[in-house]
Amino acid sequence: MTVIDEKNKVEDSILKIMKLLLITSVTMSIASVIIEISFMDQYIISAMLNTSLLGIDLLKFLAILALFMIPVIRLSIMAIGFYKSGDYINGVTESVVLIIILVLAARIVI
Amino acid sequence: MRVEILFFVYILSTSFIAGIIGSLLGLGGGIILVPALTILFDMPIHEAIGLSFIGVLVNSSSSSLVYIKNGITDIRLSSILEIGAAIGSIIGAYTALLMESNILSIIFGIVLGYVAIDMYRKTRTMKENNIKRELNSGEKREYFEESTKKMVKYSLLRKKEGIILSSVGGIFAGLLGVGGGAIFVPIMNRIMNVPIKVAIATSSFMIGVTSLVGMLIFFNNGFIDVRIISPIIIGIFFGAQVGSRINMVIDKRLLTNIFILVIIYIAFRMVTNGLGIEVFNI
Repeated sequence: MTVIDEKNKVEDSILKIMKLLLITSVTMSIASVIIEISFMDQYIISAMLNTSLLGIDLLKFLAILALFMIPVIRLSIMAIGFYKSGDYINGVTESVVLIIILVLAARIVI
Repeated sequence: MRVEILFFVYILSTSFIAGIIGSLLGLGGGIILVPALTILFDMPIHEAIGLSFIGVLVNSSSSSLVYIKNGITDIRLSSILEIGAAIGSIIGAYTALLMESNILSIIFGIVLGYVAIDMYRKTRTMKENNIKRELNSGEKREYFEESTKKMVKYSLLRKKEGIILSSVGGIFAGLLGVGGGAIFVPIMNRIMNVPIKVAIATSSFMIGVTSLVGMLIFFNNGFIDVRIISPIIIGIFFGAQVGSRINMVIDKRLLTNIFILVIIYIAFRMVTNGLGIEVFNI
């Protein structure tokens, strides 16, 4: 596979993943707002809303998680793409940035 | 823990307008959102910055989709600069957490003033495309120019300087909850010899990382009010979509001049707020 093919493949993958995660995040945010405003008195939905992860309502958590995953997944795709095309310097750079982000995220969870 | 509906609508409208203005002027949205949240809602500036990171992340992801699709983003260049920008963003975010609100407000006002001057200068000198770019040295790159339907060649110069200076952009992004595009774009364009379109697209792509770093640090320190993240995400996302459509049908020069005045007023308010001086309200 040529470097240009690899570059196009990486760009396509990034595009698809970013679009999917961004739409997921916006959809979860809209759903969270609609449910919060409209169905507060219904037991099951209220229980679902009260389910929290890291102190955040479930849907909002999913919205933030999707946003968080956008740079994380695109950095992973880019790092793998660079390693595959033999561009090790850029591959290492992306990996270091990814590690920084994962360490910062781990500090929140732990 | 539920947000009152009226407050929710106000935040949604503010984010929506910030998204439109940000998209029209090529800014991340944070530069409008932070002052709006502090001046209009009396929100502590640290909380406003924390929420702004989320808005900037949404805006940068949304605009990056268009730029990548059009083949303008230089992904390899972004990976070179991202490490400096990410480290800078960590330094900036932790510095912001240590700073007093009033000092942060004054710095924000000064940076806004710089952004206004930079925008004014750009409206006066929109001849960038005519500049003959250095092609004899450095790494050869190219991108597809939609307006001329041709591949445009350019050379990437001064990579080391670019990496070092991108950390400065990262510091400002982490410190103030803005994208940092106002610094990344001139670094790429004027120092690294990158055409302005590629510089804007690449900066937008990189901003995702700097804002995520800032977001994680502010979240970890309890400065992100999770109750109002939904209206921020929705408002900024749809605002950016509307802004990009308005962009195609209006006289951008007139609009830019109007917003320069708005930004100068906001900069003035941020500085006077920081100094504790009472001024008239619009």
